[in-house]
Parts: sequence; structure tokens; C-alpha cells
Amino acid sequence: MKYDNAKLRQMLAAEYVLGTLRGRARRRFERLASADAATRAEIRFWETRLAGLAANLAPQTPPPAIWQNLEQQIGLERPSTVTPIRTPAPAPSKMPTRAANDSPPPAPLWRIFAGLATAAAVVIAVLIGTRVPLPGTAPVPVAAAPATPEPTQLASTVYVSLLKLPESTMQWTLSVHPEADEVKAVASGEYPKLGEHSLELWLITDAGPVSLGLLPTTGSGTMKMPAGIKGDQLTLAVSLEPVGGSPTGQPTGPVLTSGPAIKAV
Amino acid sequence: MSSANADPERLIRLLAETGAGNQRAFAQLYQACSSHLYALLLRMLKRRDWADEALQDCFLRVWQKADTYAPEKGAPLTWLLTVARYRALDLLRMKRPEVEMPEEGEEAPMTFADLGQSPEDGAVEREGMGKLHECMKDLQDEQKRSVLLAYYEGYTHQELARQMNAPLGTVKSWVRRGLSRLRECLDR
Repeated sequence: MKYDNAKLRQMLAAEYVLGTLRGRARRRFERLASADAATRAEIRFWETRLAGLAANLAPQTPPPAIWQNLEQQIGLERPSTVTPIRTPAPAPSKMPTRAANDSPPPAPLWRIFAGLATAAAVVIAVLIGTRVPLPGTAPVPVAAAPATPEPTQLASTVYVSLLKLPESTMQWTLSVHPEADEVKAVASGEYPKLGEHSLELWLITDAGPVSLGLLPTTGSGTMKMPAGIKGDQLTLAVSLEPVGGSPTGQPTGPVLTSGPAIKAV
Repeated sequence: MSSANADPERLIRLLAETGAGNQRAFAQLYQACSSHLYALLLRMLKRRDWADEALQDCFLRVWQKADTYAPEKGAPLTWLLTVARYRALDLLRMKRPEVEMPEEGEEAPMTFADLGQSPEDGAVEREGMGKLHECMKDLQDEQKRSVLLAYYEGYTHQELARQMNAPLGTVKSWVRRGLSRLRECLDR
């Protein structure tokens, strides 16, 4: 598609902000905008004007649990960005090309593993703390729970993992809920964009890596968990893949990080 | 919520303090703006648990990114609503995969709000919002409805076609003509 037509660019910006520009077209347009001030100005124009529609809505007070969760999260966020794991990580091209399920990881990954137990313990504390008030912690009023809580998470097994991308602040908090067939990923930190790629999350099983889906680099996402996964510990890995994910169903790019998911509940 | 709470100057100050790591300012910012963002998220996502998740994500992001916000970049509430809306669109793409287009399935996009771009200033913004409502009245019914459904429901062209019981091409043209007409009116 040619973008040199100003009118077309205006329309694409409008549809981008409205949200009807999707998929690859959306991504292409983002790339165009990142290199073109006029396009960014057009996007800002629509963001400003259309926000009037949102401002139109009657405010709705969110449940108090959201703020309580945020308080806990920001209490965790700051220290982790102040003391990043500094490692002489190799460039992506020098990283192992297979999922590291049997060979020992290089030094940077080992150092990540070393920090993982502590990090996982903190994650576990948060997971439990947000659902079961512990003595001495701020109580979570029952009435403040969301109208549609996630009942599976109280009674079911949950595995938690913290995967960090070496040489960056990027990390993912992952919780695996086998009974609910889902994996939740919360991204935080700055993603050092490695060209046009997707990051794919893998579960390392005896039969080899099984794709769980594409990892978000911002915000959070939910992926589908394959059935029948058991054990005290799972192994997860993240690989760099072509946009949209591995075309073969197996990791095709370098493994950027990997680590255990520990049974928490 | 009183309009004084969402006063742009106060919000700009709170965002600046939040960017410097001031948790009290962040709490005040949340208090002033969360109900506006939550209203939009509830409207778009329909499910309370999704809206809760999205609101939490948004404010976590604001906490991490507030230092990239600069007053000259524009109205804080618009910036926050834009962050929330892009987040809701991402969530809808992830959670309603059955309605995605074939080319979907890529990683969550960076939004332009992330890149630190925002609208001009509060005065322009308020004027723009008032004018938007005027200009909306100029649209033909189908154009207006398709634009509003896309905005508030986060519908794709395909979903719009289903919802409005019209061919895909027709719906695309309603959206485009609606936006084009809006643009002309807003420019006047």
C-alpha cells in the first residue's frame, strides 16, 4: 500500500485510532508513523478528538481491589528496576538456537536462575496475598472483590515463573493454571525491540517444546495451556520468532530466556 | 467526580510527580482519573473482570511511563484515555480471537501513546471535544452508528458487518466516509 497520498494517510490514521485498522496493516502503519512526524500529528489529532467520546461516559468507580493490587505491584516494581541483573549477555545472534531443555544455559541464564527462586517467592506471596489476606497485611474486603472473580485460581494448581530478558529491564511474570487451561503473562520493563519479530513462549516437555503462544511485550495476555501437564515444576522458554510466531510449530529462532515455573498452590 | 479533580493543570503536576516515583501523587492521579478510564473499559470490554485487568495494566503502565509524559505534549486525561483504549483494543484482540482477521495473531502492538506523543493542549482538546459532538450530528445515521460502534465496542469491520447486518464493503465505506466527513467538519 502506498502511503504518499496525504488523504489516504489521514484515513489510515483515523482508522488506526478508531481501531478498525488491524493486523499487519496496523503494524505497517505504526512503522510508517514512527518515521513520519506528519502521520504522528494526524494520529494525535484523532486521539484528541475521539477521546471526547470517552469523556462522554458517566464515570464508574472501580473496585478497591484494583488499587490494592496496584499498590502491591508498584512496591515490587521499583526495586527490580533499581537492581537489574547485570550480565555480559551475548548478542541475540550468539544465543543458543535450540530450546535449552537439556544443555546447561550460559552464564547469563544461570544468573537469572539464581535470582529466580527469590523472585518466584515474591510472586507467590503476591498471588496468595491478593486472594487470601494474611495476618499483618492490609485486609482485602470481601465485598471489594470483582463481580466475576476467577474461582479456578483458589482451588487449582498454579505455577509461577519470572522470566527476564538479559541486558534489559524486560521481564514477564507468568502464572500457569493447568486446570483452567491457561497461562497468564504480565509484561513489565522496557522491551529492547529486536527488529520485526514476535516472542513466543514454549513449555518444555519430555516430547520437546510445545508452543503456548505469543508473549506480549506490554501489558498482559492470556494464552492457552495444553491439557495434561503435571509435575512439581515446569520449564518455560522464550524464543525469537518471525512476526506471528514460529511457522513450523517448533522454535526456529534463538532462545532469549528460559526458567522454571514453580508450583505455588 | 468533580471536574476540579480532573483539572488538566493538577493532572499534569500529578503525572510529573508520579514520573519521579511519588506514590502519593500516583494515588491522587488514580483517584482523579480511574473512574473515567474504568467507564471506558467497562463499556468496551463488557466484562467486569476484563475491565479490572485492563485498568490495573493501564495504571501500572502509567506508573512506569509517567516520566515520559511532558506537559507540552498535551492533556493528561486524553493521554490516559488513549492508553486505556488501546489497551482495551489489544485485550479484545486477544480475548475474542474468533473474530480476528486472518492477518491477526501478532504480538501486542506498541501504541502511539507509548512513543510519548500526545495531543496539543487542554484548551484545544476541550474545544475539539465540543466540536466533535457537533460534527457527529452531521453524519448520516449509518456512518455515525458504525463509527460509534467501532469506538465504543472495539468492533472490527467484520464485527460491524455482522452487527449492522450489512455487507463488509458497505460497512467499510460507512466507516471511511464517516471519518472523512468528521475530518472535514473538525477542520472547519
